[in-house]
Amino acid sequence: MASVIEVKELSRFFNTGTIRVEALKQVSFSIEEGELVAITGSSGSGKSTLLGILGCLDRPTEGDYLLDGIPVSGMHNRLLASLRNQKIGFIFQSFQLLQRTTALENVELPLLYNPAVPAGQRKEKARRALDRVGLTDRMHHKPSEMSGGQQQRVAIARALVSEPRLILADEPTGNLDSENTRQVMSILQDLNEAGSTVVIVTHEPDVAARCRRVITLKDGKIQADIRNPEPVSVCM
Amino acid sequence: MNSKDLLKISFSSLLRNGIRSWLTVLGVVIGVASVIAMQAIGNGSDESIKREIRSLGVNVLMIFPGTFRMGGVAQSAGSMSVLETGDAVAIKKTMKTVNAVTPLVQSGQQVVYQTQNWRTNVTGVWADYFIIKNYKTTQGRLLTEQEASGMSKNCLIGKTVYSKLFPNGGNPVGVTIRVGSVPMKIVGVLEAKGSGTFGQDQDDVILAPFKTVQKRLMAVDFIQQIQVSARSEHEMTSAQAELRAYFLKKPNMISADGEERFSIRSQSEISSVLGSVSSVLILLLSSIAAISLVVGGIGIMNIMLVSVTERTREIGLRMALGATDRDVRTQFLAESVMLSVWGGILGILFGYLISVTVGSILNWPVSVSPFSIGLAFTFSALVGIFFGYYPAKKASQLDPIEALRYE
Repeated sequence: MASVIEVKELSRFFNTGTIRVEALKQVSFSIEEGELVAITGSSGSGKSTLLGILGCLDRPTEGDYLLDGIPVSGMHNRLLASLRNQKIGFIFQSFQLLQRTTALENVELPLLYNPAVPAGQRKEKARRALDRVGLTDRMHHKPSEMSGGQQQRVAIARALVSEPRLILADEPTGNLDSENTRQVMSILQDLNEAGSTVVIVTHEPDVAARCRRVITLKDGKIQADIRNPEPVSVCM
Repeated sequence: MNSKDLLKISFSSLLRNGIRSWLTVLGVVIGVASVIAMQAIGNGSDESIKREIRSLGVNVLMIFPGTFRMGGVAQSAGSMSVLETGDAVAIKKTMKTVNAVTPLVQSGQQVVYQTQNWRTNVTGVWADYFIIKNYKTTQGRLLTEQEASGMSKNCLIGKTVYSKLFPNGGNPVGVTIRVGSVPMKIVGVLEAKGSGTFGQDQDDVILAPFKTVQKRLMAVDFIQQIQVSARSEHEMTSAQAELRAYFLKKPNMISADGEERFSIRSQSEISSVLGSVSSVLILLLSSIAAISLVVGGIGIMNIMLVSVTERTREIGLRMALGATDRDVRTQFLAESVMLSVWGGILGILFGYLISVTVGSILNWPVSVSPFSIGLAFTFSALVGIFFGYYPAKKASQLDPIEALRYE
């Protein structure tokens, strides 16, 4: 199977005044197509930094990152933007939906920046994505008219709409109660079953337990990379 | 992102902050409206001066004693008594290019009829003056040639004088009024001429025989002006040359330092001096208006900066979802241009309304030229680009990770 993510000796340093913070040190791993991976670690372990790089929002200081076989490290900003648009679907802890904009329009948003999708097809694609997260009846509702779980499902639909190679979720359940957490996780697991590669950054053991592979970071290094042969089932 | 999507996004984000957008637009509206109005009113005042020249007759020439400098201060007429009644007589007799001549003296006098009292200008003229100025009467008759060239105590009154002396109406013809110390009989009321370009009342006047005013009322020898009308428009130049030659032949018409002690001006030259004064004023007002447009632009910049800060998370999100720096910059630039262009359109409408209103109050033929509309529109769009660029650039340079975390 082809690697969706291939990270080789990746480091990321920040210069804050006189102190040099080493957020990631010589990290190497790869993620194959169709995996469901949790990246965990305590706060300050470097998982947010890693997510930024994996999401092409940030560049490594040293080392290589290949997304779907494409070397990203030295890429120009505008190419990075189109890579984000076409290869990655983001899910954020705080949903990041545009207020006063309907669910459908929120889901359409990534397609606006994709010249390959004609304007006429956007609505239909967005509708199908909302269908997959079970929100067909909420299409014309605004975020303020929906529950947190529903809002996160809209955000998942937005991540799906471009049919990306990789879904990157940053603490997707951090703002949700246990019932909504269960719902959101089962959607992510379903997507994975259907073939999507999903990477979840989380510090919740419950969430990590549902993933087939758990990468644990500590102080900018990989502390453990465990395969979980029997993840907690979708229908628990 | 295609331009239709861009316009839609920009428009809906402006709508989300309705009141704020309107207030921002208002600055540009005021700027553009005043530029348009100033232009139109300026054109109107020029046009009204031209119209007045036409109504006064393009063929009129005036001879003043002393010098008359364009754009400078005219010396008071009559300060040097170089003009004589004899000159008017000679001009009338000898010059073929001229069809009417009158000497002119003018004096402010108290006019009394029964209990009514009014101060007005009494002008002493020959009968030719009525031809030059195209005067008619509404009641009674004009002065005859004989009356006007003699010492008759008949006079004509303007409409304003009539309404002041006869507040209850009635026929003034044949009534004797006291002008200064001289009792005079009214033979007619002049047709109204309305107010001049600069608001002076052309009907607040009494016309009386030249010699009566000069000798009886003022007791002087000099005359203040000679007015002449040329036979036709193309004979103006030759009439002017002929007049000049005549006066230069007279003794004492050149002062010790070589300056001519008379000047010949046409009505249109005098009006163009007034016109240039008014265009300077309009230019000044227009530049103030242009400054207010710049102030409006600064208002747009201010609001766009606030908007960029407020929408930091949205910008971060758009970038994460694939917007390039160029996409973000174009979006914010489109918003500021939309504000300023909308302001420009409204400003043109308001400016037009102001111009039409002012025009109808002052009775000026105000016209909003397509050129000034185009200019105002282009300028307001440029204001939007100029003042929107910095906030848009700032937005496009945000770091997406930090922008997404912004609270």
